[in-house]
Amino acid sequence: MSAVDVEIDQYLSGVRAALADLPTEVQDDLVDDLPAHFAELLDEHRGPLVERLGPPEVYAAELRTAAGLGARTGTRRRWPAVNEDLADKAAALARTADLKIGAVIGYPKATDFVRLLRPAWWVFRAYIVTLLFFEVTLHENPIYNPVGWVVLIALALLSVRIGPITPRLVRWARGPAVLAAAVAVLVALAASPGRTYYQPSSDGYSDRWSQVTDVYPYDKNGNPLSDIYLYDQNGTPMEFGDAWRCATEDQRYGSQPYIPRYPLCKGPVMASPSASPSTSTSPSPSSSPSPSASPSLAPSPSPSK
Amino acid sequence: MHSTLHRVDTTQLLKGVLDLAVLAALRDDDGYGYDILRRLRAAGLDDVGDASVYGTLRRLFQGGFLTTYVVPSEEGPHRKYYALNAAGRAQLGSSSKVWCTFAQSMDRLIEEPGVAS
Repeated sequence: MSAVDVEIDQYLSGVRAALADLPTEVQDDLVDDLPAHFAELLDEHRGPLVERLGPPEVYAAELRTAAGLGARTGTRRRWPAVNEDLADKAAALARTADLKIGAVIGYPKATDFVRLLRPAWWVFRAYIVTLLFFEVTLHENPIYNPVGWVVLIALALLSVRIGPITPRLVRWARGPAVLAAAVAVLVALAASPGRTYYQPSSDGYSDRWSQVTDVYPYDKNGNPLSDIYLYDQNGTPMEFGDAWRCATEDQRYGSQPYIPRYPLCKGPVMASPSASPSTSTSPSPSSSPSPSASPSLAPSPSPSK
Repeated sequence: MHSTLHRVDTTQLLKGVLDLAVLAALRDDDGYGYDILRRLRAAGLDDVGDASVYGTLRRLFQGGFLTTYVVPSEEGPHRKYYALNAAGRAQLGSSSKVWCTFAQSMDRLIEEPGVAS
C-alpha cells in the first residue's frame, strides 16, 4: 500500500465514521466516488487532503447536507437498518402499552404512575445498599441492628436528596447505573428471605443454630464432657443439630424414648488425630479457662472407651 | 427574523442553486465528480465545496434526474460519470426559468434606485 493509498484510506475512514449513523448502503453510496476523487486531488501534489478539504468530519457534514440527509443524529445508532426498523416497532409497541395500561390504572400513561413511585425507589435503593453492605461485611440483616438503622436512615436521606438529579446523569452512565440497580435488587432479593435472623422457629429454638449438627460440651478445665443431656427451662429435652446422626440401633429402635446425649458422635470436634496427641489436659495453662474458649483449640479428648 | 441579520455570502446563496448549477454543468457534456467541480469553478463559483458537489450529485441521482456509468481508467480507480436524462433536462429547463426571473428581479431591485425608495 502506497503512502497515497494510506492517506486516502485514513481520510475516507474519517468520513465514514462521521456517517456511521446512516444505513450502510447510504454510506457506501455517499463515499462511492470519493476514493477516485481523492486520488486525483493527491495527484495534483497540492498538499495533503486534510489541508485541501478540511477535517473529514466537516467534509462528511457537508456531504450529507448537500445530499439532503440532514444533520447527524448521534453516534448511538450503529445498527443495520433492519434492527433500526425493529427498534422503531418495539418503541411504538411500548408507547401503546404505556397508554393502554395507564388507562386501566387511571393515569394518562403507565409511566406517569411509575414516575410517582420514584421517591419510594430512592428510599428502597438506600435499603438495598445497606442490606448488601451488612450482608457482605457482617452477615446480618441491618434491620436487627441499631447501627443498621442509622446507616439506613443516613443513606435514605442522601438518596432522596440526590434523587431528582439522577435523571440528569450523563447518557453513557445511565445504562450502567440501571444495570447496577437491577443487579443489586436481584442480589438483595436473593439474599434477604433466606436470612431471617433471630426468628423463633416452631421448635422453640432460634434459627441461628440451624447450621449446628452437634454439640461438644467442655468443663471449665477444658476437658471434653460426654453423654450430656440438655434440657430447656421447662425440662423438655433439647435437640440440637442432627439428633439421630450417630444414634445406635438400640436408641433408634429400642423401647425407651430417645433423648439425645451430647456430643452425639464420639470423637474430636475437628477430627484431626495427627495434629492432636491424645492428652486430656487443659487447652492452656491459664488459670481462667472460660467456657467460651474455642473448642477447636482444645486437644482431642482421650481415646474414647 | 430579528435575531440574526444574514450578510449575503456566496456559500449561503449557493445552497439554493447548487442543484441548478450542477445540472447546468452537465448540460453539454457528461462528467465525473471532479469534472463537474472544475466546470463550476471555471464558471466562477470558487466557493463550491468539494463535498457539496458529491452530495448534490447523489441527491439528483436519487431524485431520478441523472444516470451514471462507470468508465475504467488506466491509471487509478474507475470513474463514475454522470449524465442528464430527460427528467434532468426538464428540471434544468424549469429551474433555469425560475432562476432567471428571480435574478432579474434582484437585479432590478438593486440597480434601480427608484424602486427601493
